Amino acid sequence: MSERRSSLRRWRLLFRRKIAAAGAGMVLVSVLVAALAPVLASHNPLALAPADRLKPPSSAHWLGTDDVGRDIYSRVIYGARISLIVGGSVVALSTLVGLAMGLMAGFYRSLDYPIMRVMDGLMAFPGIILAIALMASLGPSLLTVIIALGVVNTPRVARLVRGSVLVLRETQYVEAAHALGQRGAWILLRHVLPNCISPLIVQSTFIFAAAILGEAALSFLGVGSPPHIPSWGNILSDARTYLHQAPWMTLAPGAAIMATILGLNLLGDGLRDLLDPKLRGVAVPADGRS
Amino acid sequence: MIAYIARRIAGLLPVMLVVAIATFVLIHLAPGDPAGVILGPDASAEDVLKLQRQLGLDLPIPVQLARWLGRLARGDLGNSVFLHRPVTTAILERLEPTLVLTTLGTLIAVAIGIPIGILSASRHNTALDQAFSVVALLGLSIPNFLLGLLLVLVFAVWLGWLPVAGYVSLERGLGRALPYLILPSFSLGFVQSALITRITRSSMLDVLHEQYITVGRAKGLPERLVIYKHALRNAIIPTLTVVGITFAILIGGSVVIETVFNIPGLGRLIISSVLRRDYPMVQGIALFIALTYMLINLLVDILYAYVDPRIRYE
Repeated sequence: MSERRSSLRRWRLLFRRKIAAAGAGMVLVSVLVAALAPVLASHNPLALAPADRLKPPSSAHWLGTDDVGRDIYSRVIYGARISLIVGGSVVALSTLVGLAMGLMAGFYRSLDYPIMRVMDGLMAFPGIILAIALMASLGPSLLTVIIALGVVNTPRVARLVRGSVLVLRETQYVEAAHALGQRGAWILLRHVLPNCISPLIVQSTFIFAAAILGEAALSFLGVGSPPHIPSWGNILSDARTYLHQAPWMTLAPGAAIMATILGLNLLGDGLRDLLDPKLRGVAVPADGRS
Repeated sequence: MIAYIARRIAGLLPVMLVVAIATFVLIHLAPGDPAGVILGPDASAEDVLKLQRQLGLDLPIPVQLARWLGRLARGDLGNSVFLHRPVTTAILERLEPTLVLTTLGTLIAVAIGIPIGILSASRHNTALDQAFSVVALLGLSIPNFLLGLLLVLVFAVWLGWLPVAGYVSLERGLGRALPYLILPSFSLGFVQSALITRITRSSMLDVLHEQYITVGRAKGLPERLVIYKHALRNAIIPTLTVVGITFAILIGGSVVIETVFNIPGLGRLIISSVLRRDYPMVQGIALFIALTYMLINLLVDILYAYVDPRIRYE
C-alpha cells in the first residue's frame, strides 16, 4: 500500500517538473506519430514519381519531394516508426543482455574478470566503428542494425549494473539472506535485482536516444537500414547530394531527429533527478538545488 | 606511481587480445572476401580460388588467426590487400586529417564548455544560466553529421564564406588549411561542448557549497579569486574525465564527419576497408583506434593525480 502511494507520489513529482513533462510530451508525440503514420501520411512513402523530383514544399507535397519524387513529409512520418522500433528494440536487447552480464559479473567473483574483459573489449572502440564492423558481418537490414547497436550498448548496461551489484552485495540485508541459507540465485533475483532498476531506467532513455542517433549515423554512412526504408538517416543520406538544390530534404528529417532526441534527453534528465538524487547535479536547470 | 602505470599498461594486454581476436573473427565472418571483391562478380571460381591461395585466405580461420597474432606480436600489422603497402604506412598517411580534426574539435569543446559551465554555475538559476542550459540540451540533441550539414547549408551554400567540403594538408600552411577545418571541427566540438558545460556547471555547483568557499568569501576575497582559484581547481576533475573521453569520442565522431566533408582521414579509410573486406587493414585500424582509446583513458587517470594531489595511486 505505502509502496504504491510512494510510486504515485514519484510520478506526480515527475510531472510537476515542467521540463521533464515537456520531454515526456515530446516523446509521446513521436509515439503517436509513429502509431498513426498511415493516417497522418499524405502519400505512400515508397511511391516514386520521377516527374515530381526535387519539388520544393507546396500544397501537394507539404515538405517537398526527394530526388526520385517521393513525398518527404510522408517519409519523415514513417521514419518515426523506424526510429522508435530501432530505439525500443535496442533498449530491450541491450538491457536484457547487459543486465544478465552485469548481475553475474557483480555477484559471482569468478565470472567478474572474464565477463568484464569482454565488455572492456567491446567498449575499447568508438561505438560507431564497432557498429560498422558488425553491420559488415551481419549484412544490411533493420534487424542487423538493431543487433549491432544492441551489442554496442550492452557493455554500458553491464557496467552500470555490475557497479550497483558490487555495492548491494555487501549490504546487510544480502548478508542476512545468506545467513538465512537462501540460495545465491534467489538472493540475486529477489534482493539484488530490484535495487538495480532505478539507474537502469534512466540509462534506458539515454540508450534509446543513442540508438536513434546510431541508426541515423549508420544509415547516413550507407551501412545501416536498406536504402528504400524511410528512416531519418536514409533521408539525410539521400539529401546530402542535393543540399544545394533541395535543403528541405535535410531540414525536415533533421528537425524530426532533434525533437525526438531532445524529448528523450529531457525525460531522462527528469527521471534521473527523481530516481537518482546523487546524480542530480548533472541535470537540467531549475532542478531544485538552491 | 610508476608501478601503477606499469600495472595499467599490463592490464591493457588482455583487453587488446580480446579486441584483436574479436575484430579478426568479426571481419572474417562477414560474407564475401577480398579475392571476390578484387576480381569482381564476373570472375571464375578458379581465379578466385587462386587469388585466395595467394593471399593465404584458403587456410582454416584458426591458422590465419594464429599467423596474424604471431606477426602482431612482432609489431607487424601486415599489408593492405588493396593499397599494396603496409597497413602501418596506410594508417600514418591518413592520420593527419583525423588527428587535426579531433584535436581542434576537443579544443573547441573545451573553449566553449568550460567558461560557459563556470559562468552558469556562478550565475546559478538566473536567466543566463537557464538559457545556457537550454542551448546545452539542444547541443546534446543534434547528431554531429546533421549539425555539419546545417552548417554547410548556411555558411557554404547560402553565405558562401567557407568551402563546402574537402581538406588541405597543414603542410601547405595553416592559412590555406583553416577554412576547410572550421566547419567540420566545429560540428565535432559543439556537441561535446554541451557535455562539458553540464559537467563543469554541476561540479562547480557542488564545490561552491563547500565551507572553504564561504570562508574565502567571508575573509573578503574577490569573487573572481574564489571562483577561479579555489573553486575551479577542485571542480576540474570530473571535467577532465569528460575532456579525455571527448577526444576518444571524437575519433568515432570523425568517421561520420569525414564523410560529410569528404575528408580523407582514418574514418573514411576504415569504412572503405570494411566494405572492401580488406582484412589486414580493418584489423590494423581497429587495433590502432582501440589502443589510442585506452591510452587516452590511462593518460586521464594519470593527469588526475597531477591536478589533484589528494589522489594517490598505489
